[in-house]
Amino acid sequence: MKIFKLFWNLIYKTPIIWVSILSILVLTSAFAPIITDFDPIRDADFSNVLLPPFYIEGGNTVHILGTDQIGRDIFSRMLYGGRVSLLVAGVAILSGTIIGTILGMISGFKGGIWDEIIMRLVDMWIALPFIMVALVIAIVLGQSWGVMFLLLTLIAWVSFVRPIRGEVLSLREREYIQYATSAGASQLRIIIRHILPNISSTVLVIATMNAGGLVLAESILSFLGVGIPAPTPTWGSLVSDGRGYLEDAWWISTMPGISIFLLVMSLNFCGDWLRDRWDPKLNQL
Amino acid sequence: MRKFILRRFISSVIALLGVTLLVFILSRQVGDPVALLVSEGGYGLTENQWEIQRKKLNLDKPVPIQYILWLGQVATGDLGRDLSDNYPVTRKIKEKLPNTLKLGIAAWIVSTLIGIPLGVLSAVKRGTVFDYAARLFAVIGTTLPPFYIAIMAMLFFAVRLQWVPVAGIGEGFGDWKYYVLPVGTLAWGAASGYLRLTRSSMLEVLDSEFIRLARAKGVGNTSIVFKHALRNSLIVPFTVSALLLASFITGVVVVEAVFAWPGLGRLAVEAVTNNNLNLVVGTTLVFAVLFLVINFLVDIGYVFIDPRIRLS
Repeated sequence: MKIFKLFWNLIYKTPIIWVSILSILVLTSAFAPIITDFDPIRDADFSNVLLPPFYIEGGNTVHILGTDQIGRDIFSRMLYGGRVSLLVAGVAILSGTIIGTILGMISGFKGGIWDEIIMRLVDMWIALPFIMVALVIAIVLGQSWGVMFLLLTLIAWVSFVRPIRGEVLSLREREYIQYATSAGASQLRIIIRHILPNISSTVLVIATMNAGGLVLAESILSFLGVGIPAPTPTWGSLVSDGRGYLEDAWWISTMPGISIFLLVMSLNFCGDWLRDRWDPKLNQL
Repeated sequence: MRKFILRRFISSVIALLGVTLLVFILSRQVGDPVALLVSEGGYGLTENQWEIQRKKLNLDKPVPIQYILWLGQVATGDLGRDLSDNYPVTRKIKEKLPNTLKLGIAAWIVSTLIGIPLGVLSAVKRGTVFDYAARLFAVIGTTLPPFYIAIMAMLFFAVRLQWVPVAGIGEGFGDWKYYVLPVGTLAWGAASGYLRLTRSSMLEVLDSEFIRLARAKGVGNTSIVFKHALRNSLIVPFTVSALLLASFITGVVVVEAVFAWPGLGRLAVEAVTNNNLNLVVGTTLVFAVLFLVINFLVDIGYVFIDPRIRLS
């Protein structure tokens, strides 16, 4: 009974399920070349077109999730697609975190005209229908990895600024910051040594909470055909590829969508959990 | 109150100018606009004609002046011509806009009618099976990408069960069946947002002092929920509807693309695939204006809902 209760607590009170799903998705994508022998782009097998997954009649265990319209293995395309989706979202959340945190700290610490400019910029940014801006950028700059990183970074940075500014505003008035100032510490030193460590948990919480949204954004852009250019598979473009074959081969679209769902869901739940533990004040959206 | 509205108005105008500036700068990054108008590489165009074209497009003037002139053209409804068939962009947008509005308004009504009551119920019946079911509905609605919901709905209800048509808009409002899937897809996402917000703010209000006072006075439960709590908790979903609206517009673009809905979003996506810059710029500006106007109206509505702002 005790073991059962321990087990129950583990599942119920910690995000262990979500962390496991997340690690499985990350690891399988990272080790895709070891797990599967198929090449996601070149291994087209015209004699095995539109094969169903193995558990359905007509499918086989060589292509466990079936094949697409030109006989490429869906499972391996999903693994390789996950690499792209995870990498893009990961890079974007990193650069977004850095930019957003720096701007938030400047805004809160410097105040005055800096604060005014940065906060108006944030207001304006929130007031943009971002999908349209993304379409304009995609048509002007073309489609490439760089543009995708840029677009997602442009989405990511904005959610950091306001909470971090608020945090810094209250930290700035603390006594130990004033001691540091009167002891002759430079502004840069105060920010790096005394403020940054104190906002790190907030930064991490916001980053985790927004990661899911970025994965979604990437998949939407790829789906609309303005993401990473073909033939590189991403989860969004895989779903898009299967659209024309819904009647004969529903699995082409369905399978990659499940991975997006699992990834976003586990990221969101991990974010919620971190927030509840480290920064309950953020509990608004 | 007048000051509040004025301030909101000014910030909307500034945001609008910011959008136009951004779009202008971006659209000038594609190289010489004259080259877009003529056939490949300016073949068959003399130096002199090229100059005339440049003058016509105001390219001989300094960039800030170009921006102001461009802004003037946009304000008078001149968004240039479609680069593929030389059809005025404004007229194309005018044709498609009503379809997008029909879809958007229908989905918005459905999402409010589902999201807010479910949010209230889930807060009032906290911890019950109903609460968990409602939250599951919301979690799925916010984590599933809209295009995936759309495709799966299409697969089940249109391809397999054949209850509703696969795509298109049908003729007029009579063909309500065409609306079911696009509106349902859009409404699920938006309703999830409303549900979460209403639930959390309702829980907060139900926990507050004045509700406890009302309970202590002996006010009945129905009256507490509807009269005291609901009104106060609706403010939060109302104020953050700007954030919901942004994802709603993304949803509109995606849903139109999937269901071949002849609206602005589909026009924009097609324009991107055909490298049709003027059309993309035009639709972006229309969406931005719609977005800012709705946000501004919401802000004004907010003043009327919440007396604390009206009186301050």
